[in-house]
Amino acid sequence: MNSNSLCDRLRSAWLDAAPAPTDGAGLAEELRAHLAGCAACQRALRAWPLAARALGELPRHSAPRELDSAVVAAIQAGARTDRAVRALERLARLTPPEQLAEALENPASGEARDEAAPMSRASAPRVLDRLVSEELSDPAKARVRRHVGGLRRLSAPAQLTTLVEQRTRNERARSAAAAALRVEVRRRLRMALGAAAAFALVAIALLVERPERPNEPKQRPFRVERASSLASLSPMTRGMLDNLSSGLTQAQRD
Amino acid sequence: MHSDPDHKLITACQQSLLEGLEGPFRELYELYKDRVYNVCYRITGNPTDALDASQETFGIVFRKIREFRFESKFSSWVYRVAVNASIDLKRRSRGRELASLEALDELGPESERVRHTVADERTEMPLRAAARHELEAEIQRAISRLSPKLRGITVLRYIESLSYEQIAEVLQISLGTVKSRLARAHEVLDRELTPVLDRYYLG
Ligand SMILES: [Zn+2]
Repeated sequence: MNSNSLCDRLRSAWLDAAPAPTDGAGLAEELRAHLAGCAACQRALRAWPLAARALGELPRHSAPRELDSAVVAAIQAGARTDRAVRALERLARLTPPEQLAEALENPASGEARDEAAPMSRASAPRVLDRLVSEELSDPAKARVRRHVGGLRRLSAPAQLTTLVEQRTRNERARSAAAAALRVEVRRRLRMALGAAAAFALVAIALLVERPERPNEPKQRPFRVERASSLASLSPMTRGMLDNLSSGLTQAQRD
Repeated sequence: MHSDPDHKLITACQQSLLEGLEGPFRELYELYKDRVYNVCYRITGNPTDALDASQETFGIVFRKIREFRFESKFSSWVYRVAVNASIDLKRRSRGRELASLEALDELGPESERVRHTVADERTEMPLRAAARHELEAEIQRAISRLSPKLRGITVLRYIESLSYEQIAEVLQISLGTVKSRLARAHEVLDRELTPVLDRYYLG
């Protein structure tokens, strides 16, 4: 159909005026003259209004009740898709593909880049399958995991250094005091051991002395014991030493 | 474009945290569901596909309503989404479409199963109702034979009664293209429908 033809102009005029009368009333003189001699246009101007009327009289339907639940489902599915897309976007931000760095280092000309586009497409990392299936199967858990993984690392507060220094200083002072105490104990122990040994000699001498014959001059036999360590002393001697040293020797043994 | 009759509802949707089919979005849905369903029904030609396309339409509208900037009428945008969803669905299921048209033929005019109840038909004489069903099936078949572009424009013009200007806005084409496509649609419809319409209206 030639767009400049009278046939076209006539039909366009009908469309402009639709629903228009079919007898050509209201048409320009030139078009009315054409209609009188053109069988095709007469057919069209008889058929078009009928088609328009038939289409307009088609019964209108109410949306079925199922549409409500279908739309609710579509909205929920859309929300799931949105979450998955956001997860992918985050993933993309985290791991720029190596090809991107290469492309930035070696920029091609516009045309070549367009042609090469399918070749330079990055393949999705393997972890993507798992992330997407996690996102779709349990969005809440996936979200928690993402947030925990993305928590920012904290710097230790300055007070921690002060506290640790204080604590190590205290520890040093405490162990120095303990060492000094140990030296003092050993010194006092040695003194006590000396005194105890002397006393033991006297005591043993007294114990072993026994009058046999009144006439005989008294014999006072005694024994000298040298002890290099407390453990080698007899239990009785040790007991005496403990008492004499106010428990110091006992503490040393323990 | 603040003259949009739905401006208030759309703004309410954009400002609230939409969780689902509720609040202002529910109101918009109620306003548009029949219009959307009818467009989808006439373009897809069967209730099952019409339901799917309507569902997709409202899913898209829900997801994108925040991005709507009133550069066209909201109704134009909704119609565009519905027309595109229906045509896409039709492309995806061309085989199914043929099967369903054949099924429509086999079931005949008495069958109510693939058609929705028309409110006024119980008051009509049974023969008249049967003839209407037959006519409806014929017209639907003729629409289905139009190319997707012509089908969309025909439905918007004669079933939704949109002006040429609004059709141009919906389909994002010029007024001249609207009219030339409508003329081409008429050529096809004439071949399919003239004998039937003559019989029904004139015979
Ligand atoms: Zn002509």
